[in-house]
Amino acid sequence: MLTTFVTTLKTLVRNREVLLWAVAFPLVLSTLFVAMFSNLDEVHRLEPIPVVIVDDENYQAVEAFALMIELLASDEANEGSPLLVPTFVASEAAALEALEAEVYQGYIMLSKEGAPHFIMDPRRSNALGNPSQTVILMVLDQYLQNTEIVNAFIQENPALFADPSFLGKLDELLGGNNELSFTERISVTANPPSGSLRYFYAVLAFSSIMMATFALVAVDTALGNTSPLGARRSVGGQSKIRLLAPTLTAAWLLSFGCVLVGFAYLRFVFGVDFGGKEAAVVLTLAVSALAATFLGAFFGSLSIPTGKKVVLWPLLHACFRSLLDYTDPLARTWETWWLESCLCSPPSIRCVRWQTPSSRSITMTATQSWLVTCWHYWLSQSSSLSLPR
Amino acid sequence: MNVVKVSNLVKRYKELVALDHFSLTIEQGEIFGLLGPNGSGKTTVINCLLQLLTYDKGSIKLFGEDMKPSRYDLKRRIGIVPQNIAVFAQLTVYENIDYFCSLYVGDKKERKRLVEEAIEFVGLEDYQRFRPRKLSGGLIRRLNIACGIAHKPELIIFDEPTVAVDPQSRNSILEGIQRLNREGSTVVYTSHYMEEVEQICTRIMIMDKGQALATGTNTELKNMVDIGERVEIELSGESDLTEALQLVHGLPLVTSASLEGTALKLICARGAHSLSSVLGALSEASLTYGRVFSEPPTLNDVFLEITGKELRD
Repeated sequence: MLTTFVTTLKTLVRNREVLLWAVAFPLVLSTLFVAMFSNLDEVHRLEPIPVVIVDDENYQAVEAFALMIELLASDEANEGSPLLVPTFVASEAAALEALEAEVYQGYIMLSKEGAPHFIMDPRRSNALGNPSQTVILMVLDQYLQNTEIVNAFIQENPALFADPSFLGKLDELLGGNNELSFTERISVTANPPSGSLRYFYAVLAFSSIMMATFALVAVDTALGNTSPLGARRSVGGQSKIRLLAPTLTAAWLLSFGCVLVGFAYLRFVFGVDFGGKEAAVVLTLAVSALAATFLGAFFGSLSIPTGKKVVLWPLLHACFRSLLDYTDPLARTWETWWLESCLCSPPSIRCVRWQTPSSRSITMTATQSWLVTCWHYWLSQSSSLSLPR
Repeated sequence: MNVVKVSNLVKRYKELVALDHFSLTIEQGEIFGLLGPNGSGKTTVINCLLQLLTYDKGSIKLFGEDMKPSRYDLKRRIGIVPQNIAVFAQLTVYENIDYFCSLYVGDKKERKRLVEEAIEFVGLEDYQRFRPRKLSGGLIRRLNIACGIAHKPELIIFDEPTVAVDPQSRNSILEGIQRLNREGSTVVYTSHYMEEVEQICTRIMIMDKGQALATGTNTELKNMVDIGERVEIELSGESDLTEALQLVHGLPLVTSASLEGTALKLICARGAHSLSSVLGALSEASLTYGRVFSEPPTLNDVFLEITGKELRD
């Protein structure tokens, strides 16, 4: 059995085609994914917006606006993430000059009536607009809206402003102390949710599935009904279990090793943060490699030419995936689901996952069971019994 | 002692009867030739012997014991050299032979000795570290053989081992098979090459359509059919070729005659003195001739006579 185990390892490691698809291809895909998605989290993070403020007599006359700008630029008031990085200049001419540096999104100046104006730098925008400039516009809109509300109250009932309790309430509602919020933010994950991590799980899951090639090739050369080599080995005076057990063990070990290489590549070369769940990922990859080994063994035991098998199983796999994706457009591919549902997705996402594709979960389980059952049946019926003519 | 005894074996593939009440007995120490056209059932017989195929009826005994798929003890006494090359492309010559030997022999030291003997036997000493793709067709065939015989089996089955090899390699393989036989192995040999079978086999079976048509030694098989020697006579320029052809056609010992240029080609009936009778008749008719060729009937003649001359798949 040891010789069979070592021989299987040798033949698989020296098989360039298998290594290409099972090792090189996932590594290349990982690299591509990193290139595509590594800045995904940064895209969703709002950086402080550099803006020029014209600090002239109009600006100094509206104390409330100056206070708002001060609060928006404050580290303390914004939990270390200020919205604005203001640069104060004395005049509009100086502001225009400052824009030449192409650092600022634009400049803000107040009219004589105290109305804010935001002059955007067109060089910082494109046909789709500029999110930073849009944020500034929203802030100024909010400011104008609040100002209009207060002015309306004053015109309708000036006496209200003599009531200290009304003024206090107004201050609360319009966000004077910044402590009132109508929604509460709570964190249900150990780590901040990551928009890109799911794609790296998908790569790992895809790699796991590709590892089925190892078992496919190994079993193809081990059974009497699959290939001339398998026929020769099966008449070699050793029981089927003594032949298949070390063969499948070697295939699984190699699958697990290769998918670990992929994981280490993502974790240590590209520094992908798995949120401290590395041990769980490794354990899941071991189980995934085992499942992939069974899947590969099933296809490997089919009495069809090896080349057709190698084409057939990814084809069926792709069809299966397409079916799942079609029935549930919100769902991930089933490999992603396989990994994500098992381990490290943020619970919020996991909740959605478990609620949405429940019918798919049943389909998955049933199909996996069916595949494993078929495989066992095939093994029991094949061996010496059904060599094609 | 019967090494192989097959009785009334029937194997069907749906409507097609691949083996039709096929029986076979092979004695210890024989080189038994299995001859038959394509699709005659030779490989099916071998696969049934090795329990690679189930069969519908009949029994198979190897070394006097019933052969079953789980009789690994019997399988260990058999060596198989399949028609298709069945070696690992990723392993070297030494590793391939060592692996297949390990299926039968557990002890490492013993295995090392056997592997080295097998390598020497097939003459692959200089190629031990080569992988199969770097070997020529003849060398791969020799590797295929070494993988089947390394564990020194008592019964070796060669399924067309000389397909697509050059004459030197073929000769080396045939000599090797005879040497294995001299060392005590019983050999089952299938081939399309009649001269090979004629050269090395002690007993031959001709089969077709899943049935054993004839079994016997080379001489016994030749005696089974009514074919005598083949005669070719080169007639001289002065001879009347048409007259000569009519003359030999009239001879009772000539079964067929034809004229190719100035060469008169005859197939005679089985029996002695065919050549002298023909030449005597030509001389009496004052027909002169030059060179004369004569050869006794070959196994190929017997094979065609028994299985027919129509083309097969």
